[in-house]
Amino acid sequence: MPAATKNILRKVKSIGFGIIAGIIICELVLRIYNPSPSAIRNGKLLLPANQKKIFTNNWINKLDKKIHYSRNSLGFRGPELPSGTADLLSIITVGGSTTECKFLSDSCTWPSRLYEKLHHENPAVWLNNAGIDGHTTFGHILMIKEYVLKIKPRYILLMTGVNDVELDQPDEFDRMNEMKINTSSVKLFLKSLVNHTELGRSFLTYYQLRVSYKKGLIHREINLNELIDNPVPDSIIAKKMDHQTPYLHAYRQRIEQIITTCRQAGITPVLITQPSLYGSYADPVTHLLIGNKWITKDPNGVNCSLMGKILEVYNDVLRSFSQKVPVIDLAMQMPKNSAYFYDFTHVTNAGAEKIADILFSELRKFIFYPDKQNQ
Amino acid sequence: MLFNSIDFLFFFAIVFPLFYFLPGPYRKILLFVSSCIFYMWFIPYYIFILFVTILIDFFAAIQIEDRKKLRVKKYMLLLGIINTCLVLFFFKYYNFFIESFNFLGLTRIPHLDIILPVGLSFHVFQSLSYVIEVYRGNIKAERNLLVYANYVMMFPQLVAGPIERAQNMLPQLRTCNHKITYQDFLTGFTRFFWGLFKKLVVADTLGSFVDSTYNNYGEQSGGLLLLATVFFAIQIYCDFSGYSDMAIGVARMLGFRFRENFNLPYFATSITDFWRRWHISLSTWLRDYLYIPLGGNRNGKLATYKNIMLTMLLGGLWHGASWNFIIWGGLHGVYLSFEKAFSFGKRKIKNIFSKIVGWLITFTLVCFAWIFFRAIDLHQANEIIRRIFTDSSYRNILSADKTVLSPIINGIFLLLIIEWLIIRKFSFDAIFEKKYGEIILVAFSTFLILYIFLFGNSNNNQFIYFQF
Repeated sequence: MPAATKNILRKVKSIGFGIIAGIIICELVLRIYNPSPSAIRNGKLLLPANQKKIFTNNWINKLDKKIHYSRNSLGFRGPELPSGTADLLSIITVGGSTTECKFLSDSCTWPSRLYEKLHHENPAVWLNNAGIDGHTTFGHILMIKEYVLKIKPRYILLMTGVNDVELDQPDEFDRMNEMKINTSSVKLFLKSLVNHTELGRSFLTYYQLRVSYKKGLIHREINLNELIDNPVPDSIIAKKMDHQTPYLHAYRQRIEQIITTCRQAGITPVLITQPSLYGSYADPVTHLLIGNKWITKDPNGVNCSLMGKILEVYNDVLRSFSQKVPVIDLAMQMPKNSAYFYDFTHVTNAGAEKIADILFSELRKFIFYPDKQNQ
Repeated sequence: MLFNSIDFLFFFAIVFPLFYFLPGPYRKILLFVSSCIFYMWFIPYYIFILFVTILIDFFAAIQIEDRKKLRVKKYMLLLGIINTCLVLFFFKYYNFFIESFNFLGLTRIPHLDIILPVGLSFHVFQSLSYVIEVYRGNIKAERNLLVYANYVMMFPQLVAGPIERAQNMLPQLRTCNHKITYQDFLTGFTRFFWGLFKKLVVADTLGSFVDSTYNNYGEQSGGLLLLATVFFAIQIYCDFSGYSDMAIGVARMLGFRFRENFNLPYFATSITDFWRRWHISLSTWLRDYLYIPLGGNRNGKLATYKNIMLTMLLGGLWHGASWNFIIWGGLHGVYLSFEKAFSFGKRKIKNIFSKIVGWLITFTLVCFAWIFFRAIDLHQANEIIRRIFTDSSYRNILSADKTVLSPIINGIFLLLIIEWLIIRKFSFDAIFEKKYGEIILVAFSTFLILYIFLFGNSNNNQFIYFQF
C-alpha cells in the first residue's frame, strides 16, 4: 500500500477512535453532573426549592420589565406551608407553563391572584402553584405522586391541554420511567438505550425543546399583525382532527389516572379547560380576523382556527368528566382578547387577573358553600 | 460576523478549502477579499475608513524608509500616527470629551450619533506599531500594498485582536505559500472549539447571572454582588481569551501563527505577573510604545511611577470612553506602582503559603478593579462597592438560585480542571507530538463540540471586547 494511502488511513483511524473517545468522555462527564434543564431524571421529578431571583424581561413587551420569581421550600410558587394544617383549606394548582406563569412576578400569576381573593374571603385558605413550564399530564402525574400527595391538599386545580396535544402514547413514556431496555423493536431498543445514557437524554431534551418551539409552545411575544394568513383546506382539517384520536384516548387515560390517584388520597381534583387565543374570531384589540393566522412557519403547521378546533377536543375530554369531578370551563369563559395574552396561550397581568376572577367565582361556590352546591 | 455564528461556519467552510488549494499569490487575494467580506458584514461602508488609514500608513512607512532627512522621517511618522489616532479619537472619544467639557460648563457642543467601527482600537494599535517599528529601523517597510492590507485586516484578528506585530506577521503574509499541515489544522481546530467552549458554555452562562445581578444592583445583597463580581472576572476572561483562542485557532487552520494573548492570568501571584499573562498583546504594546518611550524606569522612582500611571490610565481609556475605564486603568497603575516600590513583582515566590496569599491578594485586587470595568457608570460602581462592604447579608449567597448556579459552577469547574491539568502544562502542539496525540486532540474536540451543542448559551452572542 502506498505511503500516502497508509497515512490517510492512519489519520482516518485516529479520527474515528478520537470521536468515540470524545463521546465516552462526554458521557462520563455528564454522569458526574448533567446541567440539562430536564426536571425529570430516572423517573424522578426534581423540583427547584428556595429559589429567589429577579430577572429582566427583555423579550416580551406586554409584561413587566422586572420579574420577581421565587419558589418556596416545597419547590412551589406561593406562601410557605403553615404549621398546624388541620383546618387549612389547602389548594395546589398543577399544570404546565400556563399555570407556572414564569414571566409573571410572584404576586401577578393567576394562582397567586386567586389565592388573594380566596384568602380574603376565608383566611384558612392556603394555595400554592406547582406548575412547571413544559409539563404535560405525564409530568403532572409525577408531580402529584412525588410531591403533592405528601402535602395532601383538599383540592388540586389541574389546568391541562395544550402541552398534551399530539403527545406520544403513554407506553413509551412508561418505558422511559421503567428504565428498562426495550427489545420489542430496533427503534424502541435504540430509544431506550439512548435514554440510559446522559448524552442521549440530553439530546432528547434538546430535541423536545426544538419541537416545542416549532409547536409555538415556547414563550415569545406574538404580534398578530405580523402573522401571515394561511387558510387550511377542509381535507387537511379533517385529516388533522382524525389524527388526534389515539392521542385523545391516551390523554383521557392519563386524566382518569390523575382523578383516581387524587381520590384515593382524599383529594378533590378540579379540572380546568385550557384557555387560549386559538380559534376563529375577530380580536377586539387589533380587530384582526384570527382564524386563518398561521401559528408557526412550519409548512405542515396549523392556523389558529384549526389549532382552536384541536385544543377544543382536548378540552372536551376534560368536560366529559364533569359528572365525576368539578370541571371549570375556563376555555369557554375566558374572552379571546389579545390584551389578555402575550402569545397564544400565556397570559399577561390582565389575563391572569381575568382568570383569577373567573376561577374565584366558580370555586367559591363549591369550596366555601358545598352544601348549596349539593342542593 | 461573529465566530460563534452559523454565518461564520459557512464563510469559513468556503474560505478554508479555497485557501488550502490555492497557490501563494492567489491566497493573498483570497485573504484580502474574505477579510473585506468579514469586515463589511458589520457596517459595510466603514471599510472605506479602513482603506484610507491603510493607504496613508502604507505610504507613510515607505516615505520613512526612503527619505534621508530625519525631519521628513519624523513628519511621516507623525502623519501615520495622526492618521490612525484621528480616526480613533473621532469615533471613540469625541462624544466622551464633548460630554465631559459640557458637564464642566466649558462648552455647549451637541454630541454626535456615532457608531464605533468594529475592531477600531485593535487595528489602530496594530497600524501604529508598524509605522513606529519602521521608523525605529527594526523592520523594513512593506512595499506590497496587498500584503500590508492583509496585515492590518486579516479577518481572524481584525475585530478583537490579538494585536499582532509586523515582525511576526509580515514574513508569513509575504510568501503565503506555506503548506497547511494536518498538525496545523487539528491544533487550530481544537483551539477554536476550546475558545468557543469558553465563550458559550462558561462566559455566556456567567453573563446571564452577572447581568441580572448588576442590572438590579439596588435590590441585591452585598454577598450576591460580590459573587457576581467574581463571576464577571471569570466571564470577561473566558469571553476575551475565548475569542483570542478562536482567532488563533482560525489563523492556525490557515497555517498562520499568532502570538499567545493570555497565559492563565488568574493564576498570577502579583499584579505585575497578572499583566504578563492578561491581554499580552496589549500590555506589551503599551510597554513598547508608551511606557518605554516615556522613559520607563530609567529616570528615577517618581518618574517611573508617573510613567506607569500614565500608561495604565491610557490603557484604561483605550478600553472605553468612560471615566469607569480610566479609573480601572488608574487602579492597576496604583497596584503596579506599589509593587514596583516594594519590588513585589520581581521576587520569585517559592513558599507555597506565600504563593497562595499572593494569589488571593492579586485576585481580590483584580476583582475590585473589575467592578469599575463592568459598572455602567461611577454611581453604580460606588453603590456596588458600598453594598459589598457594608451589607452583611452574605447568607443570601446560600439561598441563591441553585438551578442558575449549578450550570455556572459546573462550567467553572470544567474550565479549572482543563486549564489546570492540560492547558497549564501542554500546548496543543505538544499534545499532537505525543504518542496518540492526534486521538487525544480529536477526542477533546469531540467533547467540546458535543458540550457546546447541548449546553452552549446562545442568548448572549456578542463578545465583551467587541465594544472596544
